[in-house]
Amino acid sequence: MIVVQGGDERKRNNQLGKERACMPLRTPQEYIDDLRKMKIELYMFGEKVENYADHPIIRPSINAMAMTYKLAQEPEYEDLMTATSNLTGHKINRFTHLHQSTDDLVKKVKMQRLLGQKTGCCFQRCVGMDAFNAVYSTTYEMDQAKGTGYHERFKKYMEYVQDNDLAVDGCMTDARGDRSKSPGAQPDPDAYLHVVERREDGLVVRGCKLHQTGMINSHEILVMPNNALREGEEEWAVMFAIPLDTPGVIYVYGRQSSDTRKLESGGIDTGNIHFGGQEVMTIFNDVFVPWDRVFMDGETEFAGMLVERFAGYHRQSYGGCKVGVGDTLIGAAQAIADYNGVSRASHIKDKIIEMCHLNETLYACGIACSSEGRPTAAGNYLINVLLANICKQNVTRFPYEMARLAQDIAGGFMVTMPSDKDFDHPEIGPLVRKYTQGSGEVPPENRQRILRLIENMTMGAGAVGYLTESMHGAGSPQAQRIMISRLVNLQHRKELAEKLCGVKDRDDIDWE
Amino acid sequence: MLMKLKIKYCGGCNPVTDRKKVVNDVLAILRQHTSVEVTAEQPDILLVMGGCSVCCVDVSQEIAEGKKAVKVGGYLVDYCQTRPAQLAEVVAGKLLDKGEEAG
Repeated sequence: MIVVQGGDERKRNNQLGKERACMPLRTPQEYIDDLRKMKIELYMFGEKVENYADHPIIRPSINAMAMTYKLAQEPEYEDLMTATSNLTGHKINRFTHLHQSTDDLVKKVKMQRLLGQKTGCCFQRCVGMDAFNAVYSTTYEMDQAKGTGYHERFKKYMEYVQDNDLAVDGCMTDARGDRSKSPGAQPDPDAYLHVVERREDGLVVRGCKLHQTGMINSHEILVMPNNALREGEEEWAVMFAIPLDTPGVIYVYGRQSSDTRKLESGGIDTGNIHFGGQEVMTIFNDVFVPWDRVFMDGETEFAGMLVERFAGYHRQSYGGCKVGVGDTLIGAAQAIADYNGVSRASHIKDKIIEMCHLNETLYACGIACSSEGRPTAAGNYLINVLLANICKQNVTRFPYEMARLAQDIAGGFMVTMPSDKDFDHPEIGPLVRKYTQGSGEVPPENRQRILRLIENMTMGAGAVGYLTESMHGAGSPQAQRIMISRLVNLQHRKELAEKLCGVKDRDDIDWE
Repeated sequence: MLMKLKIKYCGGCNPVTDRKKVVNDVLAILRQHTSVEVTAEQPDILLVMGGCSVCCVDVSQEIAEGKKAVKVGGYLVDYCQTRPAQLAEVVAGKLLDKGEEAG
């Protein structure tokens, strides 16, 4: 176990704090240089990785995150990408914003759609934004009920995040061991991250968080409990933030299908040549957290509220980000239809319309749950939780159907096409290109690139973000169904029907 | 002591509570503590009765006029979650507290 600096001390001493005190918007280059300075314990393919920011498998995911910094610098995207901090009045990146209105919630979804369009993948910064907003309102209500001081502490932390334009990984999903047992009933207590030691200067925690999207592309980690907790499970009711390079944290990079294509030269076979996603197993091997970075310690009764709000925000997010990625898949389907010379066929047109219909339905859900948002007691805005769950439930299905339609339109060559090296081979290359020729003057390479992009998004490395993340990210389908059953008033609906057919009397028809 | 109470309902398109029942329960509790006159004219305090968490009732004018209000959105009272069985009691308690502040 190793002691690290607390948040305030770190801010004073840390290079980020010194250089960036009043310059809230970082450039993408500054962001990438930050990562190059990180000294973390990272493993991939059984080996320790140094300078991960320049590793060819990892770099596309960093590029995707960098786009959240890039677009905030551009006047034409400023309205969506930036906001005014309610804490400092400074202009900040919207990814660090505490939503102050339903308009902010709507703009969040639009920003996510934009980023999905620009990257064609998960850009990984949403989970932190969703965690900020959930922790902000929950700590406020916790303090009101329990007389704790977490909210003021968290506000100070948020000022640090906003003024330094930090990327923060919201960290929730535990290893969970036997899924039928709650944290306190697990044979191994480490199955859920928990406090193993309380000291005068802070806490020591142990456990593991799985599926951490964008983890090592972040400056900081904001850890939250995995689920609602009961009395007796106080040691699992813990919430805190630490810098990425905190000693004792071990990162193990997740594999993605076709990931080693990124090691090949050329890049065409990767499909999405600049961008990608990232998931990391994160092990907390007796990690010290100073008190000024602790935002919950034992308040079991607020774990459920926190989880529900975080999940709600994140289920809203998918009505933006996956729609943006869907836009690129629709574009790829249209392109390959043109390249194949089939874009005028009525069934192709109809399939692309169906893709648009599905995609815009997801967007409608994202906008609806935002427009129907409400203020919390803390003052930041929360989405309509029911509609956010409806949104995410659709997201568990529609991208799969869109992927099926895109593959239908693309044709089988998407998975039988020779490698890029064969296209460039001095002897067989001309023959491969000759027989890859599609419609008119479209070069074979264009067809090759678009087919690889569809492959990437529907069954390659990009499918991790576009499909499986749509299924399980922010909670698997059943989690939304449980919430829907809790939030819908079925009795009201039953009475509506009973009154219409006369099972129940009605007194509201008082005219002759 | 007389509480002049204005009640403003949402449209009730997708309620999770029976708004009229909640209001009747609240009034019954209030009348155990004080006299209550439900009125739209010069109220002491406003009860904003929304059927779901959105609570889309427009009370911007009353708030601008400095009126005290208790806002109910489904099971949220002034944006804080309340147990269903305690909803009317919590709302009545808030009205009494704020009514007293309003003088």
